[in-house]
Amino acid sequence: MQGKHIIPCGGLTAGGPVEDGAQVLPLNLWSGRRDGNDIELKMEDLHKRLYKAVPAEFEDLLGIAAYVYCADQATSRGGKNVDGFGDAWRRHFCFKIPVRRLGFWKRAEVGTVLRETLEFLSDDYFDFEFVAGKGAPRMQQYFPNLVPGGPGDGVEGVVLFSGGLDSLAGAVEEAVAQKRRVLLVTHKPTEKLNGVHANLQALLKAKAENFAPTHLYMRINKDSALNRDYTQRTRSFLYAAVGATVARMQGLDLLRFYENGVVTMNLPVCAQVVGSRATRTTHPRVLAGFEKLFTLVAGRPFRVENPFLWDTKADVIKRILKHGCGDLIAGSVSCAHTWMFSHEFPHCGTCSQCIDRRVGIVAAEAEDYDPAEKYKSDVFTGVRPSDEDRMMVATYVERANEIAKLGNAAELIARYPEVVRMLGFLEGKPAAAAAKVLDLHRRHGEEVNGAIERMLAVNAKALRERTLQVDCLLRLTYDSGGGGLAMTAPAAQPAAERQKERWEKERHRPDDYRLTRDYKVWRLVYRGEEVVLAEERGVALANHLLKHPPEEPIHATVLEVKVDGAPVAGGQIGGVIQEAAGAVLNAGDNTLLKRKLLELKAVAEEDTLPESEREEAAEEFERLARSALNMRRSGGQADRVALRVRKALRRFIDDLESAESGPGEPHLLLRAFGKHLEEYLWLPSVGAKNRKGAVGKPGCFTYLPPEGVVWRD
Amino acid sequence: MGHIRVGTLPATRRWNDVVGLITEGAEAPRVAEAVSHAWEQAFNAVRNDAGFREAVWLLMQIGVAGKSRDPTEHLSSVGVELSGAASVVEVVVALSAAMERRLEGTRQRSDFGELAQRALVSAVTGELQKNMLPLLESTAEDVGGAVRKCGKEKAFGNLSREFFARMTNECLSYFLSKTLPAQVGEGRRFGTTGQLAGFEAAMRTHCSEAAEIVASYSSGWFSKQLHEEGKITRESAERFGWFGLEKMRGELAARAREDAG
Repeated sequence: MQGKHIIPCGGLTAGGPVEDGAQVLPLNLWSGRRDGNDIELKMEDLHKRLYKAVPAEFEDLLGIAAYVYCADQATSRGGKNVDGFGDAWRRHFCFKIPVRRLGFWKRAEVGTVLRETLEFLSDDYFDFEFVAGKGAPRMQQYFPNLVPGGPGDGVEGVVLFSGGLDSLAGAVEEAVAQKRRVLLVTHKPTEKLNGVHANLQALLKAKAENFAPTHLYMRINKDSALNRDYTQRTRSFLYAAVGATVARMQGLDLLRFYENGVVTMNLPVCAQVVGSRATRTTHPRVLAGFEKLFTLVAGRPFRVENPFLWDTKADVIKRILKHGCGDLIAGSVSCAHTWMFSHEFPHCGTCSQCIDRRVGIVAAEAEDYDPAEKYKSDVFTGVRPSDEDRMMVATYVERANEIAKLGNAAELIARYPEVVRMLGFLEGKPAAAAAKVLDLHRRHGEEVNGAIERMLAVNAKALRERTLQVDCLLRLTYDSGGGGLAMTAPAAQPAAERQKERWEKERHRPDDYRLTRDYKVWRLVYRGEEVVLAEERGVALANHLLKHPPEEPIHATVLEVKVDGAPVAGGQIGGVIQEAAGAVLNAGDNTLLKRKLLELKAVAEEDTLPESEREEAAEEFERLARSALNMRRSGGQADRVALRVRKALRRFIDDLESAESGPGEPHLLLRAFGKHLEEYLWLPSVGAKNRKGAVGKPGCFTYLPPEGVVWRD
Repeated sequence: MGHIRVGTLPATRRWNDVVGLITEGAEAPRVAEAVSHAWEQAFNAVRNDAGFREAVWLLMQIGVAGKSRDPTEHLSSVGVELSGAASVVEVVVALSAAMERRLEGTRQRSDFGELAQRALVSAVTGELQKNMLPLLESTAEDVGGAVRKCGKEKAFGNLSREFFARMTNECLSYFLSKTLPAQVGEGRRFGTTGQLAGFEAAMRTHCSEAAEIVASYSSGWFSKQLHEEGKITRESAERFGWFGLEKMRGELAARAREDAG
């Protein structure tokens, strides 16, 4: 994870020293201008009669969402970051935000649902410190140009409208099919799409007639220097916050996202797509989180729905066709690469969204409404020279193909374990929900395969004549005889040669003896062969003896200190070692101590000596006697240590001597190493029956290596 | 909406060698070994990973539950809320939720931990499903019975084998998916996406076969740990987990050399 990103907002400062590695990014939404780190949130074109007062908690919600979105865009998620195992993807934001309703935002349940929802949505970490805001702007600052008039109290629903196919189908369902008066909330990420939105607005108005939707355009204005990351995983939070606010202005307790189920669930197309690498914009858990948060903010039950949850892309397109709105399709834009947008080519044809759109169009047999020439690169026949573009299309096609073949929900979960994350947020029991998820994805898989088959048929002649672009989707999925490398393998294989050279370098000499500690494991090289050992006490103890064969056997207490570099127990090591050493060196008779005690006793009882000298000797006698007594009281601890070490080594050697490489197959290398330890460590240390063969005292350990065996790290 | 981000491998010597092997036509064993060599730095970055530790610990708890008088009660005691679970799906939903609660609570999510969570869910689903009767609606008793079977030494060995096979495959694929799909097309390693799928299937099979090495060790370790320590701690589970991964890595290396002749 990256270092912390401190985001003081609304003119606040980070306050206090900033910890090492943390970065500070002030953002200010309250200055009322766009300049440097000052940002603007603008909601445009709302009809004046639809603008109504809402509780101040909603005003705060808009501010929080705007800050989160801007910090998200202003903070890079790192580059390829392969050798860090993707750790830079997750960022840690610490926001300090002034609010109008401090008591509300400080409530534990509010903080928890806000944090948890955002963390799942974006894969980042969020901390919020709320402070009482001074000089908060009025809500009207966010609504600078209210349009006169409007339907008044007639709005029956608020729908988030991106201008892509799914939200267009949602608008058609609401306004054309259901004849409901809806307000569409649109985020304008770039001015480039103004024309697209205006055109869709006009087209919808013509179709819906008296039920023409009203529109609200939301925009964040900020300096281009704050655009450092384009992933924008928190965009749907800002979008939903605006939608919920406007819904409450209309007295509504419902907000609708329209997104097909396959994209909503967004199962990873390949193994590298981990966490929020696949967006969770409308993931069932995210929508449940929004619902909970907006309910708290509104102080009344508030619902957030996705009515297209069980639709595929083709299903969504068929809905548009069914309601006679096929001619609106060409006006919608799905492309993720908005920076490439042009009126000539509104779609890049290479991003995941363009692929999904075009495949869905073909699957729904709606090609007449979605001109292929509006894609800069044709999704089926266009060239894909860049690795990323080929990867995207290959993984998209392969995932669909794979899912279509899955037999049951258990197979789906085993192959795509991410499924379980949503089951608790779907209606019904998890097993039934999993079956529905499988059915949805199977239909999607069949639609993708069907669309490819249709386009193969359409392009059969070009395929036969091999005139299609080499890197196009159809050639990538259809073996037209070009074959893979198996037919054209180059003679030179430098990478294979380098691999063999590396292996040669890694090969150990037959007289190599190594034992190396790695993270939670040990690496053993024995007679030139390498094997990994589980981390256990016996290995650490043996390791010391192997690498430092003692001249004289050392007591277990000393061995433990050498291995651990720490006291045996409760800081008693000094006494225990003395005890152990005493037992070994003079069989426990403590001659020197006894002699000293006798001398002190004599001085203390000698009447001819000054009283001060006699008292001093008596005190010293008492001190030494107490110490000797304590030492005896701790007696047995050294024996316990010896027993512990003995047991650990014995267990380790036993495990080695019975090691198997497979069921019933002895592990020859480990057994040989076990035999070595038995012979050169255990026998001289502990001996056989009645300590036969042991060279030291009981409780002492040693290693007597055979000639030529030297252990190294 | 619905945006997906995919990345490519960096152009370092080790990763270039991986790409080189693929383009030269190397089969799964040699490619797997090269990846397990190239990922060394990445693996150093995830030592002490909380997600992996938690996944291995929860895997162990399935085995411990299988040995206990009341599997559901044991799992509940370790945070896997299973009351009344009548299907394998409910078990893995609870297992996954327990893992997420732990990681979200301690703020220790990581890509490596996500891969471990996938391996856990996938392995437990596969193993429990084997113990269920097909085509019949399952009951809470069936689920309890399936978990109970995982407490047997051999079954735990199989569960563990499945976990390490999937974990290894997920790790290999995490890196390989940053290059393999780019090798599709005429004149490239894989002429079609079908050939790519064939290679990926071969890699899964390779990992599954290599994981044979951890099966018997796992069952032995599991019963010994319970017999000697009476419980399995997160610390001991982590040791077991890393040992399993290192065993897998060693096996991948051995099989690659064998494959190269």
